[in-house]
Amino acid sequence: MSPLEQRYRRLLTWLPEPARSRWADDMTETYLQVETADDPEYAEFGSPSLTDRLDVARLALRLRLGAPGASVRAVATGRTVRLVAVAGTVALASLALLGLFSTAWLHGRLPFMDAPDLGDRLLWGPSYAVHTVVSALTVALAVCAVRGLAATRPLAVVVLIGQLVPAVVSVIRPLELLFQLTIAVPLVAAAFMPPGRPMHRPLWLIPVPLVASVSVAALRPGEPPEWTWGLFDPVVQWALLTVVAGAVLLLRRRRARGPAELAVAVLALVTVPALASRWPYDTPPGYATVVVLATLAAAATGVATGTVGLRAVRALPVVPADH
Amino acid sequence: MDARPLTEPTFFVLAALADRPRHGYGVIAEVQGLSDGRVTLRVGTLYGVLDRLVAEGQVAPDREEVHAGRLRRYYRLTDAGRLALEAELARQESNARAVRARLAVRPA
Repeated sequence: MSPLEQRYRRLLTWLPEPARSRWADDMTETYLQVETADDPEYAEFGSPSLTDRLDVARLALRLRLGAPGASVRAVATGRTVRLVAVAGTVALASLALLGLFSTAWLHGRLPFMDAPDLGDRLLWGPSYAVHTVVSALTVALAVCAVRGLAATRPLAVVVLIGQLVPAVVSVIRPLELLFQLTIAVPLVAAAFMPPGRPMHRPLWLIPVPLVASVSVAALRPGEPPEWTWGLFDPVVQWALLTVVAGAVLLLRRRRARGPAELAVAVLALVTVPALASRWPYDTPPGYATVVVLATLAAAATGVATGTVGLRAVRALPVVPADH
Repeated sequence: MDARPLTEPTFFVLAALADRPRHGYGVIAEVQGLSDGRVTLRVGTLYGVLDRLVAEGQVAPDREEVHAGRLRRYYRLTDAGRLALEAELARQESNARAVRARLAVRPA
């Protein structure tokens, strides 16, 4: 075996089973033919190029996320990523829609609703314009993710950059970056989401925008009770939703466990750093209590559903899903 | 059958296997020839496409030969693959006809 063949064989160990057993020998042969077609001596000193390494890494990732021909376990992993992406982007889109709604209201762009008289306090500028565009793209991203369109991935990258760059540039307290982590996880999941069929009757998503719309109550005249302030916090809402979803999943008798439980675990655990980052702030006692309880409940949900989901996915066989 | 248009790599891989079975390097060379050098398939891309086409039953392993002490596997187009390729050709021809007719009309 030539040094070049050894190096290609080592590179192809990145591929998951069963694809590795099926393709590695043949791929090595093809690589060697391509690389030594003009210069047979290259087999003695050559090594895989960066492009080859990236190409194999991309194929390995696709196969680990359930591309056709991948294992049953990889398909379950791909479904988990898609569920995180869909539920997470719908949650972000709900908040983005509320943001667009309030911006339109404050600028008197809503029919049948008078704008409040804010005078000079009504701000607008390039950063607000960017935020509005990113909000609109976030809504489009959620639609693409639910529909399983290939546009989801590039759109997720654009929204991720649009969300994170202004936040990182303008951050005042480092703790605020933990909230960006909560936002980033579903966007990264959407960027890696395998394209697929549209979600079949995604009725389970309906509570997500409904719960987010609770925040509208914060806009009504008069001061809401102090203890309810926590419930207007989007991260608290997100955490409580995952707690309810986790309880429903664990209490229902389901034959096929795995992706849904794992997705809830991921979505619950990503809220924990953002919630914990709120603890040091000097907030009213009622608000602080709600945040602490939501943090503990989200962490417990993440551990419980994660354990059940991980066990179920690990029990799946590493055989081709199509056979 | 999936009615979505084929991606360019998928289209050329099916086309490269239309006349006879070929091995991986043969497919890459044939695709380069068919596309006048415009499309150069990476090996990882080729096997990603082959993996999907085999799973979908459009391509099947044909035979294996030993070459310089290593195994070389040949692939062939199945009936389902031929149908998919013909459907894609019909779609592209229909688009080309429509656009050619539009180009024939000179603006006043």
